[in-house]
Amino acid sequence: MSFQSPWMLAGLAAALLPIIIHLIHRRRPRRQPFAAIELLLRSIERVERRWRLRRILLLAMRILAMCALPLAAARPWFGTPAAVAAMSQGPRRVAIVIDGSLSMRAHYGGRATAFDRAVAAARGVVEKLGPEDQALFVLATDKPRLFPARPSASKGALLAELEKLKPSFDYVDLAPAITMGAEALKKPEDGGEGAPSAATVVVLSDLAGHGIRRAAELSIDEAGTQATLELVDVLADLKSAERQNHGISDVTVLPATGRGPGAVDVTVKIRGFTADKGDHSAAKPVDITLRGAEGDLYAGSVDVSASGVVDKTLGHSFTAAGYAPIQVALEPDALVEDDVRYAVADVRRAIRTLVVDGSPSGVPKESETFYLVAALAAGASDQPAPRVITADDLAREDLAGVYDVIVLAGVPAFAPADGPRLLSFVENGGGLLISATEGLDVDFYNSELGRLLPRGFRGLKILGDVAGSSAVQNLKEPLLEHPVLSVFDEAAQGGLLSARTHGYLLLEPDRKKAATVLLSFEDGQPALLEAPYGRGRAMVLTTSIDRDLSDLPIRPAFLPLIRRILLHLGDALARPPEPEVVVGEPRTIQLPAGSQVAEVVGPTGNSRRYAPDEMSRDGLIVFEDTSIPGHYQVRAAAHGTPEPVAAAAFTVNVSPKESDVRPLEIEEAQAVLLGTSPSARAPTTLAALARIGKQSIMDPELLPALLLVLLALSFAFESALTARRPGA
Amino acid sequence: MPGEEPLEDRARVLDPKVLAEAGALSLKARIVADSVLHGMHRSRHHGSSVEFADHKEYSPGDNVRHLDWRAYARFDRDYVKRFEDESHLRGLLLVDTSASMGYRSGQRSTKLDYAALCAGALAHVLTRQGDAVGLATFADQLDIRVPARARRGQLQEIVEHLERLEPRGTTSLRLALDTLAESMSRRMITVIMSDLLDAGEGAVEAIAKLGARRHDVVLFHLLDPDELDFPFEESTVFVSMEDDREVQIDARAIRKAYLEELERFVARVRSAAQGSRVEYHLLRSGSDPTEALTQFLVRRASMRASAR
Repeated sequence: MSFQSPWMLAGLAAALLPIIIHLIHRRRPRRQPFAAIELLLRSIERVERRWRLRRILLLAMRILAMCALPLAAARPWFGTPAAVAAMSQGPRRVAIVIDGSLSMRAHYGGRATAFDRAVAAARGVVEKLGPEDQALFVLATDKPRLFPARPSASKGALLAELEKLKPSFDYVDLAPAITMGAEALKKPEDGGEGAPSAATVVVLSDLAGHGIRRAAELSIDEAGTQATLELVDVLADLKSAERQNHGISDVTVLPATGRGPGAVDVTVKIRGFTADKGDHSAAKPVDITLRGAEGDLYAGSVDVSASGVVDKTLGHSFTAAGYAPIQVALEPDALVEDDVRYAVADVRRAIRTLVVDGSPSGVPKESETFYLVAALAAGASDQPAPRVITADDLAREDLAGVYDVIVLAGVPAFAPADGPRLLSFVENGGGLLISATEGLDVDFYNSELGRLLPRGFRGLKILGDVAGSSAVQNLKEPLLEHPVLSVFDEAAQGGLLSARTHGYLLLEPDRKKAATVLLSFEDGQPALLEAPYGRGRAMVLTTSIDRDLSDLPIRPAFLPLIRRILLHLGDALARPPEPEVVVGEPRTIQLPAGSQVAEVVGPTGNSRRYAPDEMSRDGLIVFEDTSIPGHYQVRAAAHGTPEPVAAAAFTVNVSPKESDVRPLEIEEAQAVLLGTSPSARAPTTLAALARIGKQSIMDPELLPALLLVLLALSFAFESALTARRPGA
Repeated sequence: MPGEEPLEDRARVLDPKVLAEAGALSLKARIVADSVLHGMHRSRHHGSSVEFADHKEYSPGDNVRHLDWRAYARFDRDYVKRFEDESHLRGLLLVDTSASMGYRSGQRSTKLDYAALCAGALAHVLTRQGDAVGLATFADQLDIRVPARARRGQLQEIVEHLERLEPRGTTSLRLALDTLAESMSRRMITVIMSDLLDAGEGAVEAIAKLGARRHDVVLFHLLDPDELDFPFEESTVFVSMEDDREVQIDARAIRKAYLEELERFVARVRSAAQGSRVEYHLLRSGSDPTEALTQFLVRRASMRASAR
């Protein structure tokens, strides 16, 4: 305890007065001869015990009464020495940092949220400011803001600003907000320079460890004077067992195998956090729901422990292909906002494949398409089986609107009339795969399909024919960024790159086309390449799709490779998971070519329009207002009203780090923020530091009032002790 | 009767101030005695003979000329009239002269002076009635100053002794009464005048014992107004008048407890007295003793009449 006016304690000397008066009284009694001394002694004996207590109480009351006045005048104050020192040094300036992070939206036991508590505490601080004190608020979000811009002495204005503050969905580091607050305390309200006599930064937060990661800058002048830092845990009154939370940290949506093209597996990762140190291995069931645009798709439960992580996979089969916005929701707990996570399910469509066998045979194994069909059959439950025809049957086959992908599997040539049909097919969005074979008529292909070929064909090269050339070529340089090869991790690449090829098509070095080489041979010749044509694309496998020229068909990698090639050509390949957009982070969006107008619509319906000058040359826009979690739609058009671009839709989710509501001890937090800890990351086990103590927002005017009431009571008590009875 | 003052005028005569200005004890005592006698006369039945005192039953040897035929007719017994000279008392005035009797409050007389006044007045009345009266004092021991006699000069001697009384010594009433009881061969009335303060153990019991021996005992319990009211207000050192005890207290704070203790003391004395047929009167020194003395003497007179 300290005193705002310590010199008033000199008044305590007045406590000696009753003692002096008492002693004076004792020295001057009157002497009175009295005959009934025996009666007097008996009566004294009778009341002696009562008298002794009364005398003591009387003296105590008088001393207390004399002490109460100077104590009250000295204005005692319970708080930290720094705060008291600041208060006793004249006008103060206070920056009140209110934690506006996601975790502050939590409400434990159905009571007020942590943010509401922080606002109430801030209100208390403002109301107890002196007439010359100044204050401002800093709302700690991803981008901290000052309210008002400069410290103000107007309590009314400050309280009005306070009412406007709302918590965010942000993942917040408190240090920048604290630094901003200290910085704001440098400038007087009148615009003059100079640091205030006493500057304090009060932080009202749940002190969750995720928000206290590094030191703040608290200097308020050139000399390096530091503002006093006061941390307040607004949830300090809760038991540690109450401060717990579970949240969804991740949702992954992948195509499910074996359940049809529309089937997806939604894997949900759930984490539990508790501030209680006990054993929390026991799990309890929590409801989990998968929701789509049409409503609930799945409802079940998952066992979640108070401290731990659990994965739950939910499956669903969509009937329509495309991008389906979904959300996974848990049974709400203290922090509701992390119990929902948004994602997009890329629902594949069933592709219809026509395979033209360039070398049919009565012996299946001899057939050009034997290995291709076998590979596709392995995933038949996910995709329809291909139709296999001969080159001769191609002329009779309807292509447009019937098939999505056509494979010319080692077809040396085809009817000239089919050339334009194939071109039209690809131009209108179809996919075409061409594989090489011995006897392939390169001139025919160049003349009939030259426009869609990634490169012109030159001729087949058989390795070993030329002296000095190697007998086989392995593959190299897989383009892993390409959707076809993106699934080939290091282990899987071994099975792909070790394929031995002894014959392949040589291609013209035509660089004009936008051809993409996915795989190359060791000698640098392309092995697999693609090029767009119209709304479709064409891919060329420069070796055979059977074992005539390569043992690729018998490699384990052949099955996923050929399936992904066909899905890619049919635009049914699942989009690789997009990097997650966390609340507050900008999103770069690729617009369709030729877009001149774009719009992004958020979950609440608010939209942001983009003019052409806001787009980059290659059709990129940057969307920054990701403050609210949910599904965001993108619309674009060359002109007029923008239309939805399904592929550009994205989701914004809260940071899973905010789910960890475990608080730091004030000492730990103080050490991190002041930079006195060897590690800026919390929580850590730290040595005992000087205890700052919890901020006790005790009204400095209250204690003197209490003491004066005590004074009045002591006088009343004394009167009662010394009350005289009327004469007998 | 002619010369008699009306009752309401008695107060003028016994105004304490007037009494205090009367000077010598003998005069004061006579004034009180006159007042008492006046009160006694008023209390008797109208038309009774002054000479006639009371009746007693006839016994062989009595003068038959004094047979009261009317009483005979009424009661069928022989009664003879007894005259004043046949019903004289023997009385002893026993005055406490211990140091505590020397207490006075303010400008009043001491308790001893007051006791002397009452004793002197009683002596006046009794000697006028032809009773034998004596005087004894006691403090730490009994001192018979004037043996009980009915003779000329007896009153004068008693008053002279009363005038010379000085308060000193401690009180040992029990010793005094035991000594007195042993020396009393004939039945007599003993009038004790004492404050009974610091009277020692067994004082009250000694009085009761005396009364139980078929002696008539009258106790005039004298207390000063200060002792009765305890009007002290400040922190005071109260000093004993009979020994070296003293105590400092806040007088106002102890007052209630003292008065309770006083009440218990008085009640105990009164109860012991009444239980032993000791006539008890509480007197406030400095006040008019007429009523108390009159009551005593009237009662005595009626007892005497019934004894004939």
